[in-house]
Amino acid sequence: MGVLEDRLPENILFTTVDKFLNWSKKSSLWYMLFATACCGIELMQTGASRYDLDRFGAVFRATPRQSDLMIVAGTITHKMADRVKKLYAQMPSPKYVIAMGSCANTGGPFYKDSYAVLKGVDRIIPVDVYVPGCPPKPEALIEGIMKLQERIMEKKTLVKK
Amino acid sequence: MTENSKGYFKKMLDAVKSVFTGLGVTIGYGVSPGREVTQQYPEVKREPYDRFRGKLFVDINICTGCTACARICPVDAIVLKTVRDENKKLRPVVFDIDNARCIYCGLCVEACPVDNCLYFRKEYEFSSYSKDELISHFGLGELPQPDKPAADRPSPDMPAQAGPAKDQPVQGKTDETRKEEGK
Amino acid sequence: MIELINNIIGNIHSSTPMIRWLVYVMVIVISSVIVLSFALLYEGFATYAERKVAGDIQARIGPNRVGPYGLLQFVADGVKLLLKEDIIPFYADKWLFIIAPYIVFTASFAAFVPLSYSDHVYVANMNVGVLYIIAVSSVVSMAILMGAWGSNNKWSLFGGMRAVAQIVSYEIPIILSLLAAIIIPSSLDMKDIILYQSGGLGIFRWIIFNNPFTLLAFFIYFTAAIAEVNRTPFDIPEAESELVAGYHTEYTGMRFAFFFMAEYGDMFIVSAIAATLFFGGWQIPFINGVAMPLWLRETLQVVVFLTKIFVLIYVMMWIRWTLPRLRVDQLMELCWKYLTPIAFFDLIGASVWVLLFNGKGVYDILSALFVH
Repeated sequence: MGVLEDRLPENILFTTVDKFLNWSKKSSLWYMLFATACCGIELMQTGASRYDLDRFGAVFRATPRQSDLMIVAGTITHKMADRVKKLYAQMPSPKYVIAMGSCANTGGPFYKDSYAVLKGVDRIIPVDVYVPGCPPKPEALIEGIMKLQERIMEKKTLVKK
Repeated sequence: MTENSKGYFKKMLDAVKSVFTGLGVTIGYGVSPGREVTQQYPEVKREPYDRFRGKLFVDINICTGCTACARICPVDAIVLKTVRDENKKLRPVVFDIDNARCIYCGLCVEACPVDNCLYFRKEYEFSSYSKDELISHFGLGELPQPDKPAADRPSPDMPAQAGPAKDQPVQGKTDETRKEEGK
Repeated sequence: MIELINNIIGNIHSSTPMIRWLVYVMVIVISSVIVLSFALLYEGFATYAERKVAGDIQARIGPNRVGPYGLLQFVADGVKLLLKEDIIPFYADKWLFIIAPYIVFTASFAAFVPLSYSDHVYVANMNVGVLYIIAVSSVVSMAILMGAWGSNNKWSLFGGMRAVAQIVSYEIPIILSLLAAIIIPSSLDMKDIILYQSGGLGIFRWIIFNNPFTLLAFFIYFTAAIAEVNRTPFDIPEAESELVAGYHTEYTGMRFAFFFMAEYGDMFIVSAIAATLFFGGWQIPFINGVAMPLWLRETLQVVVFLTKIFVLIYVMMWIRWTLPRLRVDQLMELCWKYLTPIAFFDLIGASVWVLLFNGKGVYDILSALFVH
């Protein structure tokens, strides 16, 4: 927010404004279509008809410039890690990352012997919520997004931290 | 000219007919209420199947400490340390399962020689803000030792002295984690 | 609006030109504010309605958690887009990049002006209303190309070139089919066109029922208008982002929101032209002859006009969620090989009909035969 950030005292007016801003950020989390492997299919199913992510206001955008949530779904190889870092840098702040599935958490089944897989996406970008599973059920991913929404509501933007 | 324009009117009629057929199909969904198949997640939860693989759970009181599960796990998600107690039985002192690393393959469940000791539960909603919270600690914890000088501290193979009786609750950091994991 | 002001403050004619100009400028500002708020409110609800309609057709529920029934969803979207960081790429052409969304939105919003919402509610009654709207909507294609070029991104440039090709090509069937409808009331003034369609129970003198040729002209116009607005199945420029990237790839936050809202504004304009020219504008069906107080009649006319527009917008959304996207060569083939020749012959047929029957429609001829 630039000049106004982190400056105002904590009284009822500014905390309410903060709550309103946080409510708007959490009610319209636009996620980037980033699906690499099997978790990507579960991500697409979460946006489909049976478990609908659009109820929470989350639509998918294909370009990182217009999205504020990146759900890393799938195995990240070393070749892809370069691109993941670039895409993360292209997202405008405030931005959040969810690591979905075992491969994004810790490299998954390729943990011990693979020379080409990045063992966990939090080695290159900061991750907010880890959703375990291989692949996680769509309900588990929705629960992860709800946990992210809780974390967004607690953030302080205008008020001094 | 004729081969490109063959079927000019036929193509047009086909296009118009198929567009109107498609529109007729979707309007049925558009105007009639109640045709959604959405299961609204936090309010409506579907019960998973019988053989669903959720979180792993260990009944630590019947675990024999054979470490078969830790040896067969393909990603080293299980950390198991055992100690022989006064009855010469192996007690699993540290039994950590890393749920972020687990790939839910089920090899450890097959390898375990005891019935109903290590099995999958139906719980699948356990995302967290950090990877440390995703590690489940099932171990029984170190046995409380009386104050001894460093030279006489028991090694893992020697029987421990002055341990508590087997049916008394074991102190240590695993008590509260066991309460919350083992429900 | 100027006549309204002249009626209200008629005696100011004799006062100094300075005061008169000051009052005119104030009136212009106030009327722009009113039309702008109407346009923005409509565009906010259009985004919500699109997601709900999409959910209904795809057998799911759209947004339903944000407010009651999800009604506050567009407020949350708008505020979130305002809070985003504003990124301008380093090698981008800075002035083109910044100005493009403003021009797109201005062009789309300036076309709200000559519409006549009811008998006495209008912003400006131009006698070249239809020509003005078509001319102003063409500025959109120029602004899209500005945005695409200024992004310094090869996919944006592809999207922008395809957008310009599409919009410029589909202007021709639009104008030809509108001509087939305009030769009947013989006027470009929106209000005169609507007044021509009065009588006949408020339905049977609609220009779409005038002529089998105008019926065909409506379908040509509607297809070409969907392509003009870049909606599926013709949305190669913008939802190419689902394939590669579109012309608004590099825009973040509120700049992207301008492009987004301009699309819904264009949908409103195109539906308004269709409702005015083909469906009778604000003529109330069935109860047009009943005597009622002036405020009730005006309100009903505005409601009828907006209802016709919203029905046409619902049809556009219905088509979007039914049909798959056309490839760019199929799109061009549709325009140049199918729509344009048919629109030419349609115009010739409509002109011949007007010549033979002296401008009377089917309803007029039948009622002259059967009801003396």
